[in-house]
Amino acid sequence: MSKEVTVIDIGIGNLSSVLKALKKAGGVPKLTSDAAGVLAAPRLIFPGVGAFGAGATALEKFGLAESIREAVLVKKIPILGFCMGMQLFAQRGYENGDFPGLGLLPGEVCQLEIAKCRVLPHMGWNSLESIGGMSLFDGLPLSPHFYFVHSYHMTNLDSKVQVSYCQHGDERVTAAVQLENIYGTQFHPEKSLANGIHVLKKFIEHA
Amino acid sequence: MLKHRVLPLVLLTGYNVVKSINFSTYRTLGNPITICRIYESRGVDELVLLDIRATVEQRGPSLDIIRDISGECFMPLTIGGGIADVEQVRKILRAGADKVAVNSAAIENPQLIADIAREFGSQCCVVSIDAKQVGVGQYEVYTHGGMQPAGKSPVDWAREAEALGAGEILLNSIDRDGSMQGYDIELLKSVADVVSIPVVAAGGAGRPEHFSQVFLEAHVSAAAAASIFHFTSFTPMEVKCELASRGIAVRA
Repeated sequence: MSKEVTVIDIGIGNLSSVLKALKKAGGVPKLTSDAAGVLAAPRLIFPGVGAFGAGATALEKFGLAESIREAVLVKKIPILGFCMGMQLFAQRGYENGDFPGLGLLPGEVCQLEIAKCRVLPHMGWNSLESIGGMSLFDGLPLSPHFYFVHSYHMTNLDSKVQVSYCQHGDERVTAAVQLENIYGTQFHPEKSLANGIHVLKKFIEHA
Repeated sequence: MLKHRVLPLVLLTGYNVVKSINFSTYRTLGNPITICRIYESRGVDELVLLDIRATVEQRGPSLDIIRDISGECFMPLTIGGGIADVEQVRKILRAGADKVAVNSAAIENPQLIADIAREFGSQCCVVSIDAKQVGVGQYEVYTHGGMQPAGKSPVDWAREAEALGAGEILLNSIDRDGSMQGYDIELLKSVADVVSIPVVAAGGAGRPEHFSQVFLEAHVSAAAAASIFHFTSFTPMEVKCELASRGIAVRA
């Protein structure tokens, strides 16, 4: 099976780290910024660093929202989003305003509660408390560690979405989600050493 | 549960890794790529590289070094030294850094912090603060590699930086730098207790017990160190074993 993976480039985030991590995971990454590239992909990666508002604005600027929806919802092409990329799968996000997301998943992106977290951003290595039955984590030890850096997370998710959580202070943080061909991780697989490479490998080989 | 981070700190002057004591008497230790490759093979939590001569030499950190290091490191990378504007930050992030640390330029122009946070997100904006004790329980911020007093207390400056959008504070004690006598707990606690963003301790670690002490007493989120990893046989993993034995949560 082809190991090709198409990385959606909307001009934000550190794509060089993502590309080298995908190569390390055995993938053959290529970048795309247009609808044809998105629709022709065997599988898609949607990375992202930064604020939801900036991401939503960039998606609009590149005019890619419609083709991503068609690729994922109609053609059922597997997609994996990281951090802000995963957050953009939601219906809406409330960072720096109120912005529409891609609407791939029934959820919203809200700020973590500072009173519960005590320290924000949620920055550093955290272990997953539950993996929600997600196949991306198959073969990893119990409670695997991943690198997180964010202050918002996906919440108000529908019960049909598989969800993995981690704990930060008294807050339960959404760490990863999956609904059929749609995968998302709040953590950064490209910055999570061997565990991160494992997750990318699982996506490339099995999705 | 979020783990306490142990971060090797790599100090550079241009292309050389150096070691400093009280921000002076530098000694060259070798090539940054080789040193970072060792840390990658040890799977450390994060790496912090600071070019300590960049500000006084009026330049930024070397993009070539950042590219070479990030090509081999699958862990978060913070880069600092002489960073003075948003376009420079863009180049450093494109070269493969995940966070940038600003210091002297942010004191001169605090708006720089807000600009970086708005453009790239708070998560990548680290404010590095070098502080010196100037009296009993009194500290002052110094810039330009510890040469110039800034006329601010570290507590006031950290609060201001947080309000402007900083995502993390890297707080270094000039007095303890390279001393290996332990972290300045009073300084670190005073700042960690008044901000909600993560505080990274730096300056003074010489034994694994110093890390336990700083996490238990100063409430910091991470502890950075250079000398202990360069000049003793202790590795980041041995430090973490000590921390775990004291009930402090770390990534194994």
